[in-house]
Amino acid sequence: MRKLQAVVIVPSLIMLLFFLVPLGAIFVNLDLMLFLAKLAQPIVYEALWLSIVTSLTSMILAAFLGTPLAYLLARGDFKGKVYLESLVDLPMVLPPAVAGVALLLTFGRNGLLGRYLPWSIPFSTAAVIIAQTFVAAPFFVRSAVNSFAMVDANLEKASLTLGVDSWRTFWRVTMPLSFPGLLGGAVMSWARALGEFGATIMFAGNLQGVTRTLPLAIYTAMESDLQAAMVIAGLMIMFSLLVLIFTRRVLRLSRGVAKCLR
Amino acid sequence: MLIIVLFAFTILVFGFKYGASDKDNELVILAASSLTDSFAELAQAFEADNPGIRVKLHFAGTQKLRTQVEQGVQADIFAAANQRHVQALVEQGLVSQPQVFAHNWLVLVVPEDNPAGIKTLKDLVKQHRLVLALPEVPVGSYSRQVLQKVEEDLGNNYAAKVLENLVSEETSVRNVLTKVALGEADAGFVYGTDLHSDLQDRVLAIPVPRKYNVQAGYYITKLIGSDSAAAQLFIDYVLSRKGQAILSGYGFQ
Repeated sequence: MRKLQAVVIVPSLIMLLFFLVPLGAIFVNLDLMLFLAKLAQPIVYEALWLSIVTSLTSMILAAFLGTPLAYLLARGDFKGKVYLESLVDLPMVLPPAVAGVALLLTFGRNGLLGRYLPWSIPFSTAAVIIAQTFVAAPFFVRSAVNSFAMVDANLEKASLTLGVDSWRTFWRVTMPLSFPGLLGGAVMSWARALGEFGATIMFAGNLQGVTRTLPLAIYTAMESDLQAAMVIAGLMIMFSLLVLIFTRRVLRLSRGVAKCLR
Repeated sequence: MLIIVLFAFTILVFGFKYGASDKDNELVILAASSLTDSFAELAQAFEADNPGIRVKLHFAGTQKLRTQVEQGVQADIFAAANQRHVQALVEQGLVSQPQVFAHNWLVLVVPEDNPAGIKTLKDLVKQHRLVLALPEVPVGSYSRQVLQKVEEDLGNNYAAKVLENLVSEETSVRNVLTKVALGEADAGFVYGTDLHSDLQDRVLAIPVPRKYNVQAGYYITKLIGSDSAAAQLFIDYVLSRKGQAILSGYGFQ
């Protein structure tokens, strides 16, 4: 028992310190006055606003288009499903730079689709949202597939045999039971969208107020103003931590509700 | 436990292997992005003339290399694309007195099919998609100086009108060139020497008249912490007739 404890505790401590020390190092160098002063600079607050708008839009897009796809993958039984699933997972494992090149070659002015579009996408806020959705949506889909698959098919069958049509069964039975997983997936994809850097700077460019999201603002500030970079980094850490804690709480609550319903 | 020990051991071994190097025969050079092709050839020629010395090149924007030097990067030589960043390092006592080793000029580039129909600097006020480097990047600050000089001549709020067309601020001169070569941007300012790269066939260069142009001085200097004997050897080589011939082959003056 003693031995097991040591084996568990020592590596856990090392791992935790490995996360905490670098994250803490950012705050060691910050004080409140500096933080507030930098927050009032356009490079910081414009990036914050842009990041909030684009990452939430990407999350909503991922949820709207990803939920039907996830349902199809979880319930459908068709040839080549394994390949389709791997394809959907692909953007998660690819380096963002690959996504950046791929998006440029698709939606760029001379791109596969871009050449037929009447307006041009790169260097626009739309490009930021496309880049974020491309890399973040698979996180939602993966999580949604799992939570749909965990819903007991007998409950759905029971609902159907009681004369409730399949549309209502989906909304009344399947959705509430898989909600925690869907919410978790949405938060993961939001977090990934918020942190998106590589694909954005390659595909969308870097202009304050239009395409310069928080990660790009950190990168840009590193060229001239290390303190601004630290403030933005600190902002992202606190912001992300708050959302993660909030989600944990909501998840726990909704799991409790789901249990009561059963 | 064994795993942790192995892990720590691996870090130590590789840390030493890649961190500290054999000072006598290795030369680490930090060089501005715009020196990418010319310094690759210079290093090769230098290695051929000085057997046993290995040159390691790191290219990035001058402003980024300056930050790396300030953060204590292990290197021997810094070749910068402007004076401001090197001077800041001299004042901090991090590098020795710099020497000018080359000059460069700006050119305006447009994609080869020139979709916005830009033929002169005056056309930059027309609506198009302009890409510049960040003001902190040397070429970005030179580009804005060119716009100011044109405005002094033409007036009419020229610079502000041109900057309304700005769609992206890139972190290095090579990124500006790439965006124009891909046809995503309609125009951008790069160095004349950048036209000697692989992308030259995909862009048209529009010369910037002398009276508006900005001469970019390139400065080379030794890092104070460097104890490499080869460092001075390399600086001398760059300034020698042979080194200068290689540089002018890439369009430097």
